[in-house]
Amino acid sequence: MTGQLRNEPVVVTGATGYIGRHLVATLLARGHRVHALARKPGALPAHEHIVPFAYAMQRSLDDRAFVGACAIVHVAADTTGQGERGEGDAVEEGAAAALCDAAERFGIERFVYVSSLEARADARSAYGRLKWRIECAVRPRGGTAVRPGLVYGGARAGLFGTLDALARRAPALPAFFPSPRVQPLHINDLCHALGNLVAGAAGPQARGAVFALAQPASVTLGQCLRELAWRRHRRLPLPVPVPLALVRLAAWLFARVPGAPAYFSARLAGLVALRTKASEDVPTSGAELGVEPRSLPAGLGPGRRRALVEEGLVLLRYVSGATPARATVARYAKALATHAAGRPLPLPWWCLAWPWALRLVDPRNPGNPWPAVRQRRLARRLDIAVALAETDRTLASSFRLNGRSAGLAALGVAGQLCVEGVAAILSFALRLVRLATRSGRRAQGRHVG
Amino acid sequence: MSADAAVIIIGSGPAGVAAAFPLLAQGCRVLMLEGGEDAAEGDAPSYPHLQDVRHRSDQWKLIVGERYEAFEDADAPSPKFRVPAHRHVLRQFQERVAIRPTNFTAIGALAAGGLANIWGTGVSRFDDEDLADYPISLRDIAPSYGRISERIGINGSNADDMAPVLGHDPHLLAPTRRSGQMQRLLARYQSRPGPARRHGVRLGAARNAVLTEQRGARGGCVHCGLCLWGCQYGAIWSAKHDLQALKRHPNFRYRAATLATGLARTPAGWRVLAEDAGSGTALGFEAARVFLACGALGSAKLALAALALHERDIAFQTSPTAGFAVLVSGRKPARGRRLEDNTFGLAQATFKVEEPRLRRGYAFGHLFAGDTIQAAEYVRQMGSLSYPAARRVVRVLQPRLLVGNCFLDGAYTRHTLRLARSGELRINGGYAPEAAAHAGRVRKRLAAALRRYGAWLLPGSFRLAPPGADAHYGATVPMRAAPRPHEANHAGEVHGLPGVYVVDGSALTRVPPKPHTLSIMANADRIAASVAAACAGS
Repeated sequence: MTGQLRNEPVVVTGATGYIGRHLVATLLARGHRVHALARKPGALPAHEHIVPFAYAMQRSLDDRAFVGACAIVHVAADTTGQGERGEGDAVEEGAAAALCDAAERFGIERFVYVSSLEARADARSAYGRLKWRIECAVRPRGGTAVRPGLVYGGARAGLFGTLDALARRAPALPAFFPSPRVQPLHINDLCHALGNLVAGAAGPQARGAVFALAQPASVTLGQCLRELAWRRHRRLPLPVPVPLALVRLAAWLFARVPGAPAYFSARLAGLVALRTKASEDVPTSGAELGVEPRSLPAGLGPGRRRALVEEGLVLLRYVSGATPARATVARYAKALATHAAGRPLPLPWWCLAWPWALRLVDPRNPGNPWPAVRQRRLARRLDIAVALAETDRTLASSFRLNGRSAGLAALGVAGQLCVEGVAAILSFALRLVRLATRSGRRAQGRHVG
Repeated sequence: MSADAAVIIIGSGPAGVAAAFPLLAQGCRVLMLEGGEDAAEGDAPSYPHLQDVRHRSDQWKLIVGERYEAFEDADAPSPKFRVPAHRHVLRQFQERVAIRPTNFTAIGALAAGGLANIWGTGVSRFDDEDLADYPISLRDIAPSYGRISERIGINGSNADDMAPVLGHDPHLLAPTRRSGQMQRLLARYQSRPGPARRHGVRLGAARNAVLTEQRGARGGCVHCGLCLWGCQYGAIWSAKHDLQALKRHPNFRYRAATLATGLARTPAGWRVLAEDAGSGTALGFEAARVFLACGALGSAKLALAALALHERDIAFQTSPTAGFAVLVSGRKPARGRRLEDNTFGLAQATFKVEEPRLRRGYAFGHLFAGDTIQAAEYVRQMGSLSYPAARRVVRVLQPRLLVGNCFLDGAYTRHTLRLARSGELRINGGYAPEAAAHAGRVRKRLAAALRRYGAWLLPGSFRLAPPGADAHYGATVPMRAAPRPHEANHAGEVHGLPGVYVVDGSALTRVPPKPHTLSIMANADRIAASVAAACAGS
């Protein structure tokens, strides 16, 4: 990918981190050359417009990185938890000051510091207080502070990576009470806002300003995890209530156990320090940065292709009663992209979670509650799924007995016919429920009107 | 300006090639125009057997196509219209020949060889009853039947109950092998045909234009079961085979990718207006006589345009068809059984259902082995069971199934076509009100007869296909003893267009239930032979 260079170089610190990596890609796409400062410059992707520089907060800066740059975006932060013990704080503050110095020395107009929504003078976490102190140091010198909420999306890294792993694997998810609240922010929205700032979109008044960037309404951490588990992994793990006091105790204990990973206790402390009241939501200012942060469900939803692949997996499993080969699922998505304008069919969540539940809305089910148009669309897709399933060698036994007893299979058929009847009755029930709720809603509408 | 040929034939399908041979034999110069491209050679699959295909991980390329052509037409009425390798043949026609159908499935081929690229190979000879309304008798056309039959190679039987229906043919080759279920059903019938006859039903071998022995470059059938996807051995007759032979003739010229768009009168005869399919350049070809052989719809369009008969509804016929499945008892417990080896992939048997209250008094059909069709096709058709249930039922039943189609007389159709001033051909399809009820009578008789032989028609499977789905189009420019405009005389010459002859399905006076391709070819041969005599005389 060799985009055209239209814009001046930008210095990005922490360029290999979760946010940094994404920001570099965004800036490249916007036509900037990126001077990437990272602890391990070797980990940077090879790209003709990325100029790597070694960077460590406690060491002096490589001046060559700043020559000709139009902006500095300071993303790097110490996430190892050293800050909790007081040693790393000074290092981080010093690093920010050194970058301010460099900006002044090289006449770089825009200095953007990526802070946190938790930054406050009286923040409950040391992390929030540190971010506040750094903001206070850079703003009078013309720096701009951007406070992102809980960043998610993109590659599974950083805190998002941890949460995603939890949502992917944990048999149960913690539901804390009182529940800590977060204001999520999709990484694309953050990077676009930073890109706009770098391009000077916020004007001269951006100097010394603070922008809070997140979904305006907070959600509980538990909700956040459940959304992640469902929308990204189609899992519905059981929520297990956990009192926040217990976490507080664990954090306190961990901090005192010698040799315990500092990173972990810092994360626990951060969790405990989160707000628990919706009334404490931080007002956001995305509009001034030219972005309107998307909601969490929208940000976690699959893209079109992934939605088609998912639909293919569900339909193929439904028609064949077994798990198809990946190539077959990919073929389904491709066939639909070729012949059905590639639009995924919106399937209810219970069909996505349990493919066999499609029986209730199977176009041949006489009790089907769906409108006829939607049924026809599903029928067309099921026809495609059956045809493709039969060409999948791993599903051959779904279509041919190949040596297995026909008697047993016939018994299976009898069972199927029973299931068929039950499904029809259930569908009728579903249809009645729908009718009832719809007429109820209509009646309600009349009252209001 | 000298003529390009004595006769221009428009279309290289079965009718076109059949008409070319007698003309060339009399020394006439022939120019054949084909609107489609010459199909690439090596289209047919090169797998040894359907069984092998079903064990391959890349079988999807054959079955659904690398560009997923099989899903292109969701409403394609028959599995053969979904075969990826055939899609280009059909698509071109719908795109390039301006036809707007309403309640009608317009099928046509714009390719060298025409619809013979995808035909079902079933043939029969019309008898005096079938020719009742025709201005010709069996005697007029019998020699042509013989010539065509000898040239294309037809297999079947002259000795069974269906032989009198299909017509005695001295050139028949030995029949293709049948599946076990088909063999079982026919054996039961032959040992005791009485019960079926009491229901007006008779059964017999299929008659197919398929070689069962080597003949020149064409090989005999090896029973690989891949017929639906094209024959790699050339055993299935296609107009392309005859086209190869014609191209070697010094008096024969052939132009592909030349779409005829109109006819204009000249002092010496006719000028065929055409356009080059690639560049769109307008072309013109002159001859004393023109043969229209581009399908019942295409030929009618050219004839009506030449007659300037716009905005008039003209009735034509097709042969309404119903598809069904039959479960045949008598297999050993199915342990270890798989797809049957060595079976022919198209029709293996034929049947006739006589019922005095039917138009023309009978219905005609074919029976196919159930194994050579994809299971997905059955699942798709089983409209009363959910997809997973249908799949399980098919898994158990398919090895015991036969599938069939059944054709009714063209008198049950109420189709009209109309040439709009814009040049578009508008088709309105429809069945007579009693069509469904009469199809039901046929189903009852057939079911009652088959039951006597341990074969059961699957409930709900006998359904009339939508109008036009049969692709047996005809009688758009019918031959009549006293033709009106847009009709033809007994020699196929269109009334009002001297020197323009219809030689394809459009010339049929009526469309009977029997397969009509062989009769169309014989009629083309007959017309060409009479024209050739005049041509040689002048």
